[in-house]
Amino acid sequence: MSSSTHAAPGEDSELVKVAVLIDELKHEDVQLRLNSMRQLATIAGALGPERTREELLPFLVESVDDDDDVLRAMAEGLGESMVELVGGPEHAFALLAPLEQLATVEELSVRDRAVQSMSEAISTMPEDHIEENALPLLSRLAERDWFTSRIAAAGLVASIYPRAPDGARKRIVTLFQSLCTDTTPMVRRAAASHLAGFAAVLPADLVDTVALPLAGQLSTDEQDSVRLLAAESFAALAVLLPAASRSSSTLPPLKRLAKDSSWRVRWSSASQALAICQALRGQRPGRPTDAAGSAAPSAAGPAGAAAGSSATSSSSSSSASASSAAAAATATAAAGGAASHLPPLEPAPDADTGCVEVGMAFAELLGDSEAEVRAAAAARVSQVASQARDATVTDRVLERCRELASDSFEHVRAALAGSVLGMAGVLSDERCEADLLPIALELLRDTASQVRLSVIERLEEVNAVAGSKLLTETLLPAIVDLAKDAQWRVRRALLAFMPLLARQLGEATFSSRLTDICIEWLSDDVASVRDDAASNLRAVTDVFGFEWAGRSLVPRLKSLAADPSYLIRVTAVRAAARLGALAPAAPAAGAGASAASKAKGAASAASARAAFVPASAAHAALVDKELLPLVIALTKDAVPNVRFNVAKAVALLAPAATPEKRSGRIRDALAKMRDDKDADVRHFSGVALSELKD
Amino acid sequence: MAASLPASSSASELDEWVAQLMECKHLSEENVRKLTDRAREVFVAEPNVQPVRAPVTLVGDLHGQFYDLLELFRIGGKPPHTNYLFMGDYVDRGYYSVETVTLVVALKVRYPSRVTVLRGNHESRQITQVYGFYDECLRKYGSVSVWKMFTDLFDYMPLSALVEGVIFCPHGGLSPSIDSLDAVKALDRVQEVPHEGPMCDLLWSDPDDRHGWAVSPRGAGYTFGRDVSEQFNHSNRLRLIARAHQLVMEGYNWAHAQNVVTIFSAPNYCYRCGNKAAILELDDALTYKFQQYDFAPREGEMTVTRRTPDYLL
Amino acid sequence: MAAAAPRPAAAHGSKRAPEAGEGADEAGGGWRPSGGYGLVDCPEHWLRWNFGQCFGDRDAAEDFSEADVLSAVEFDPTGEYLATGDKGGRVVVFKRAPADADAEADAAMDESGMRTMPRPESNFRFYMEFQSHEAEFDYLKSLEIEEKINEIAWCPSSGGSLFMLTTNDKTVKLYKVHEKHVAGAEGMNITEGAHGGRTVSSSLQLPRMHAGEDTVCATSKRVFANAHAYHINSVSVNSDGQTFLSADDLRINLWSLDNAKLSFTMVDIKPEHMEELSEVITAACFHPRHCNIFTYSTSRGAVKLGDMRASALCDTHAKLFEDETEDASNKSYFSEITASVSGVAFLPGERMATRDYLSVKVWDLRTERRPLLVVPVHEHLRPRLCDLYENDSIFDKFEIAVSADGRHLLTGTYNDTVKIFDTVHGQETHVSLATMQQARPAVRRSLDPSDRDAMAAAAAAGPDAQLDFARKVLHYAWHPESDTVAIAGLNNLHIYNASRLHDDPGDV
Repeated sequence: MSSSTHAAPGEDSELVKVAVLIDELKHEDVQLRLNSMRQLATIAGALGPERTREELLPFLVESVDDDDDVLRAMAEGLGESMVELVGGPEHAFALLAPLEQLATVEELSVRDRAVQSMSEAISTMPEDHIEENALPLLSRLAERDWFTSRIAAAGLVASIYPRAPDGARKRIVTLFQSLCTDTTPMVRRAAASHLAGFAAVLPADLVDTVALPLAGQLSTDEQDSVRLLAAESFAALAVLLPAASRSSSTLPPLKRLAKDSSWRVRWSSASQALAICQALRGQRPGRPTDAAGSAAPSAAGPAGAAAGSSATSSSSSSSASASSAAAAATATAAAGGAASHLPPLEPAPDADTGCVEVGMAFAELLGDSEAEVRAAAAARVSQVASQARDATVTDRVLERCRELASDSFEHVRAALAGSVLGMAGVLSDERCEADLLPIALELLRDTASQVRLSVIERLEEVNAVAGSKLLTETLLPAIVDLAKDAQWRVRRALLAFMPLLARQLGEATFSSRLTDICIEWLSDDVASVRDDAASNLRAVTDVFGFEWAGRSLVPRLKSLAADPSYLIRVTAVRAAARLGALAPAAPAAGAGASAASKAKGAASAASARAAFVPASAAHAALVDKELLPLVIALTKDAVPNVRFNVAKAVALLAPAATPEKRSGRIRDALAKMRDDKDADVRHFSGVALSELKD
Repeated sequence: MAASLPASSSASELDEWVAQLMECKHLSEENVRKLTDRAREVFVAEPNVQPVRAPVTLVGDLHGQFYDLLELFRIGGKPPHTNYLFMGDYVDRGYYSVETVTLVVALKVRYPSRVTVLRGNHESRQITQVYGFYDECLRKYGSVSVWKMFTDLFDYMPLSALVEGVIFCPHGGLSPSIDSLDAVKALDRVQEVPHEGPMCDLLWSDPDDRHGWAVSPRGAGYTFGRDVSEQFNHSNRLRLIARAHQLVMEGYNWAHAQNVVTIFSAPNYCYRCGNKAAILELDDALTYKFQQYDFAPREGEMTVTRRTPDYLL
Repeated sequence: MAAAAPRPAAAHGSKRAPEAGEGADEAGGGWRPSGGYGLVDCPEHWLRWNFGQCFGDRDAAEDFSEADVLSAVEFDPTGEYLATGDKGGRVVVFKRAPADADAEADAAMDESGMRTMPRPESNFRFYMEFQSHEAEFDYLKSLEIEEKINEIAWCPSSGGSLFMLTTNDKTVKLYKVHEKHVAGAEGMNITEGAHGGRTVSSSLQLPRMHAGEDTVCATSKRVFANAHAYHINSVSVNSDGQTFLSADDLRINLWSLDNAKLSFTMVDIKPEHMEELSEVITAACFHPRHCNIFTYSTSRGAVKLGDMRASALCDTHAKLFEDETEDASNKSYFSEITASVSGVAFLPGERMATRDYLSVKVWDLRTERRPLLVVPVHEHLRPRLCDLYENDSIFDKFEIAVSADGRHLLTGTYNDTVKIFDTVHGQETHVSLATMQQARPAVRRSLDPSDRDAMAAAAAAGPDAQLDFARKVLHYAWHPESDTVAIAGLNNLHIYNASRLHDDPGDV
């Protein structure tokens, strides 16, 4: 068939690379198959569109792998990016055959990915191909015996319907209706979770006559796992309904679901309360962060990044809000893209009374018999209260919050702690002090550290509520207690809030109450607390400036650098290095962009290396006059661990130092250590010297 | 000064291995071969009583509880910033013997002068075939070759350490056939742990409340009384025998009027004993501090919870 | 496989079959309907049981390996497949033969000169076999973990594959059983030369798949390990198709079939101090239709109903079924042991059946204090409990199987015998596996009146001569649609089919 050439050993031509990839699609070793499958685009690119369609895709159909990872990679590879490689939209239908096979396998993640890829391919296909290829595919999937196949059909409906010719649309609706009454609960569940997405592409009249009845029917399903998904669809449907009928169509079922015999369904309605209020008020369901986080607008600013970074430490509310965020995201995606692209939503004329109804039902859930329901509701008290804008609701919610502050379940109290302070937004100053602050103080004195921390996480709101005077007088003692918590993880978590406290309290109060604590953490028994404490000094310095650091921190660092314990001396050296190092230049777009660059990983880290904020005069002076001498004095420390940390520290400080220092004292110090009797000191000073050259 | 400086290319390879292991991902068989080959060169140069300089942190049994080793580093600091003396029993019982012993050995090779690694009674062909390491290797690598590489390496590990000339650290304890450190130094250690004799005793013996020597209920080694410890410490000018080998509920336990201390570093041993773990930090001036810690929160490991899981919601 | 000619099953006209050794005390030892649950004396309406098939080495009946002893039997939800597990950790799957295969089988039988028989309703063929569990060592507790399969639970099949959970004492595994087309690939781009060089084809080509064989294989999809501190006795798949439970002596864990990393302990009866332990969990299962309802039984004879709607943690049961009508005069030193429930199953019509050592009980889910029906199974053994304690038989755990319509119950006893009860008519039929084994390939069936007389005579002569405690029948399953039962008798699997004589017009 093909003549052969002898490949020279080590030959690395493109041809050989692709040849290896193709062969390894059939390799015995799963890792190699997986690797090849992940580079399907490379293979397709080398083969060209025609051979990809006529040889590669049939080959993939013929040889479906039995490893789930390989299948997932294949489903991913056959998505949007492959459309061009098979010859563009005209040929996109060719991708459906292998994907159809993948959409029916038993492994959920493979099916999901295959359905997603199908949707991507279908979205590029020309109109006539929809009828010729996509519709028969949908019918086949929906009518197969395997329930996995019918689940896949439920996932495809929303992407096919809007592109189908008018004549076929009614059939799609019927098909979806039959999925909603499928005998297999897994299929009904899939239909329930895709109902909102499907409704979003239906014409307005069908939302009312088709989607709503389906939601009603699914919300009375005998399986609660179906009902709980149906509950989630009502809020998404609400935004699709005309303002006049929005509350009359959705509130009755939602109120019924809030009293469901199954706690899982009540849990779901507790997490939907906010979204439905928003819909009534004419707001599109928020972006995930809005739904999960605080309603207080102040948290969304730059300071929000600090609160966000501690999100990992908040336990109980996070899982609840994560799934509601996912639901919100689905709803947003279902609505056809970012909420901002959609026309403004008219508020429901009866929004006020509707929100009060929801608010009162919600208040009942705060007193639910099941702790998970109380926790889900407790995490949202402030948002729902601020939507209800009604004194009766506020009173009722506040009353429940008082009870929840001493709930027997820690995660319920933690959920409350993370949200109750936002109630400040709907309370007068007097009521804040009289009603809200006692709850906050009780939670700050909670026996569970997680609860106390959750309050601290919302300190900005405390400030908004109480003003910094109250913060100082009533809350600060509780915070100082936490700094000495027996649990080192609590001490470490509290460290993360120091920059926030610095901003809230101002220099004078912080210096008199918290600087000592920041320094004491440097000699904590636990290494990771010491390490975070070393980084914290710089974070606080970013608030108060390098002069402040020179005054308040450096003298204390100097005495720690002479501590009898080498572990403390090492910490002092590392703290000095981080204090004086150049800050990486922040991307202009702020917190969101920095998260994105983090996601990009190593590649951007390398390029980010070049971008540093140049040292200010005060910064350079602090490095030259204080930090470098402090560090270099320890080149003669008896313990090698201190010495090689000096080498590392000097390398960090050098770029911030003045050029004279760099070529003078720094180089001398490193050169001396290059001949140290300890191998590791020699190694790290060698590394530092080579970095100095760069 | 004996340890040679790792060439910087091999240092970066080792750094990669350490980083991979820190994520609880075991090395490829090929890399284990490279690692154990290099570790053998390091161990073979060390005497039976490996001298160790203070400051150093002493670590007892780990037994494959990898996530607790990570917790230990969070408490005590990561190498090379903190110096460590591991006193044996890296493998068996826990779910991650492979990752645990590979990480300990990789750290030893990367920082030979910061990390000391001793042999415990579980670092043996016979014991690991019964208590899990053998089967774990088979399961994770599909063959026993990695088990063979490691058990061959175990033969080279030193039997004991001596911190600043005054703290003697065997895994188990003393032996009736040994009355001086010189006698330990004279042993031919490169072999499977024998069933009896001085080498066996160093790895198997336990201190006991009774005086004198007695046969150990473990079936190997002896128990020794306070008189034995006092005599040994006195005649060898030692201040302390620090050892591992026994589960102690607080993670450390003084015995024999502070002539012996036991350190155990696997919290909630076997995932059910409910014990604390501890390490012993020795400062530049040999002042000591015990650090206790609990069973670490697990990531990626099977969890059994009483909190409602996401799949219900 | 088995070429046996069936004969109509026993038809005895009395209200119930008197049992060996039981004497004439019909009122005391007989069925104990309560709460107005009347037994209709209607002798024509019962199942005639016909021997269908026997799998396993019957010639080695007295000399088989312990590993071959069956320890689990389960039909899949469609009734097309049947799986057995054994003490050697193996799972064998049987598949119902299609109609034409039956014809072939009949033809083969004819050639061998055997009598043709009326076609059995179900004809199962060996489908595949795999090793599910291996013997392990618990390094944490220094204990051997047996490979014995304690239970099999089928999951909904999908994508043309079968799924089942299998469990031993410690680890539940999810297996996928599927037909695999093993195809070789040829026409590679790169071929390794004889001397280590490699040849690359000048233009790229895709390997060609060449025809291979179809094989059936089992793939381990997930391993649900390290979540049970005690021995797992039950595993049950939820009707939501998404979750399953596994129960050990003290806890019931709820899992997602998709997640082997997280297990939710929804029931925990472990007391703070183990000295306070008063009962252990003996069996658990989900309601076949209501995804929130599960039941579990205990060693004290209690059956508890959990309702997952009420709260996430189900430590407090929703309902507790305990027989308060039990005759106190029957209480003895052994009562606590014999009360232990060894099998529990839901019945249609909001009922539940349980098996303890001496009896089968049927419960109405709305009535917690007394069973609808108590059917004696081992009443005749009551005088011998001391001996049974001595030889450990008193700890035997007999399961309970239920017919598709919920009307018939099947449970095991000794002497290679199972008893089948018609709960509507109070009919009791005995099916003896042993007769078949002794007289291969002759007729298998159950007691006919003459057998019964013989047994009664033998019992009168001395019970020890009659009862073979080694030949106990513990595991069996009822086909989900038809009157076919699969019964494990030591190392053999027996399949019996029944025909219904009449449909009871009164039984709607």
